[in-house]
Amino acid sequence: MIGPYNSEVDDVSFALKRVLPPVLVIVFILAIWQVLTVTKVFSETQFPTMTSTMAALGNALVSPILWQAVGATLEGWIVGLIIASVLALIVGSLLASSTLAFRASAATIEVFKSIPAVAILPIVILVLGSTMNMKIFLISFGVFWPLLIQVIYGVRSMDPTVRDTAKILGVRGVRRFLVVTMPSAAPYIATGLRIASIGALILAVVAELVGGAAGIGRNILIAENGGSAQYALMYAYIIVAGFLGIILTGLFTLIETRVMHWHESQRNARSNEESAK
Amino acid sequence: MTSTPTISVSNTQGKPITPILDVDSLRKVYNQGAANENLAIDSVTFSVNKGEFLCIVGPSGCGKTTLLRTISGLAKPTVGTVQFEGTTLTRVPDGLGVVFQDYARSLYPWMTNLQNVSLPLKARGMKKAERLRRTHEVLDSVGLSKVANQYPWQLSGGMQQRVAIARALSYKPDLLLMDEPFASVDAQTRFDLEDLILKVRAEYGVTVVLVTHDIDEAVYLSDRIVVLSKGPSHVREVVPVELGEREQLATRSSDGFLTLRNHLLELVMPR
Ligand SMILES: Nc1ncnc2c1ncn2[C@@H]1O[C@H](COP(=O)(O)OP(=O)(O)OP(=O)(O)O)[C@@H](O)[C@H]1O
Ligand SMILES: [Mg+2]
Repeated sequence: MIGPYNSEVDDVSFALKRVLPPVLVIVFILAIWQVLTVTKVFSETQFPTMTSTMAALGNALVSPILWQAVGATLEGWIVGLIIASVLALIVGSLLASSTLAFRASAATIEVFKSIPAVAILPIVILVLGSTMNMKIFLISFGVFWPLLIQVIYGVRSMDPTVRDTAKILGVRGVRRFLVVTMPSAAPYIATGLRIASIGALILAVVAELVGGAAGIGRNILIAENGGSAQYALMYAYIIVAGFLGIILTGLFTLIETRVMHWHESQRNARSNEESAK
Repeated sequence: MTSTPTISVSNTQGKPITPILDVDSLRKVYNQGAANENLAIDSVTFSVNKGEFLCIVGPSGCGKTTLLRTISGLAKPTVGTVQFEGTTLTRVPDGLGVVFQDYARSLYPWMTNLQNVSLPLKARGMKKAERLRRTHEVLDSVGLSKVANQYPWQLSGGMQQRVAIARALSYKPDLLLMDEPFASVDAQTRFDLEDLILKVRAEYGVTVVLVTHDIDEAVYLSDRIVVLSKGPSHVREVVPVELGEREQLATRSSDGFLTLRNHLLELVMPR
């Protein structure tokens, strides 16, 4: 680079290049929304105006009702995700360690993976009612199978040199699982978890919206049942649910770059960033 | 014991030589019975004495890696036996160190160099203080104490190779197996690493079996050289090397070195 480095100018141009375009797109969409509703292309009973939705969102953000709902959704999300992950890691590693076990169980796993979790919702509600446990069960069941498959493939794709090294160094049992098997399968597991975290959020909202468990999904349903006067609030909740998805995805990506800093893909990304400067 | 003439062989100092490793009629067939059956090693017999530096040379694809894997207990021989310290090998023994041909993939990228080197010590249940002391000591003897807290992928190829050597030495194995350890580094680094391995061998008193396809390297390093035929391999000849103290330039230009080198070239490149 020629000339003195000026961080202020750099930051401003960065902001213009990176931040401005998406903001403009969002502003544009919001404007269209407002125009379509104010000009009655969509009537109030179908679609609230953008401004009234934003007002409802503003009100909701300062009321404890929204935050209790968000809390209930996140509780189901995290507990379900943890249960599914722990089970998938243990069961997956065990199945992957033996070719016979892997072959024997592959068909069963494939069948269970193909059942949409929503399809078992009626029976789950029947057994557990509209409770937090129902939500947690639905989430655990739904994300366990795809996670299990990721773990099995991750463990089975271990580099033979990595495996032989562990044998030569005398690393066995639980230590081997924790410091060799898991890190070596980590890229697969990370992908599985990123997908599972979104799946878990969707299932949480479904369990609330259809199954009646407390959370943001049930609040959407209640607002909908409140008639057209409540539509703005319903959309406000939907927007909140969308933001939850974005935040959770961002959180996972952040954790992944931290935990997987040693992995080739992250190293390449870093060095590409370096050379692009 | 020293007076049992039937089995006692003596070296120049008159000490008895006991084999640490005994490979007898080893044969290795991959995918036996299947359509892609492949005879990798025909029949290989040799033994390695305690304290010895033995090189195995042979052309590419003749089964050197296969041989080392079988010697280390990672693979089973199809026919024949491997005896390590007097007992027939059934699994990887504790007193064995291995430096893989693929050292870059053998070092765990999720661990720092220090963690890589201390992993076998942890697996052996060594206490933390002792473990740290030993790890630093062995990193020091390969000249890498400065990069202990870096990751292997932050180092050059030659440095990674030294981390792999440090890791294999950390638990003071009786036998160190190395598979073409210096094949992918430049000539200067290669000479440095050769001298390094001779130095640590003396320091740790470890027996070394090193596989290479570089004849000069084999002559420079070994006390004895096992020459393999092209695959499926058998032993063509076992060549003793007596060159005394090694020094890269002087040794490599000495008459003894050149004579041995020519002899070996004739063995691997028969007219
Ligand atoms: N896992 C395996 N399954 C089947 N065949 C194999 C396997 N590993 C090696 N072979 C075969 O065995 C023979 C010897 O291979 P090996 O890798 O031991 O040779 P090498 O002497 O180490 O070669 P290089 O000098 O290239 O490292 C080759 O024909 C190879 O294709
Ligand atoms: Mg090889």
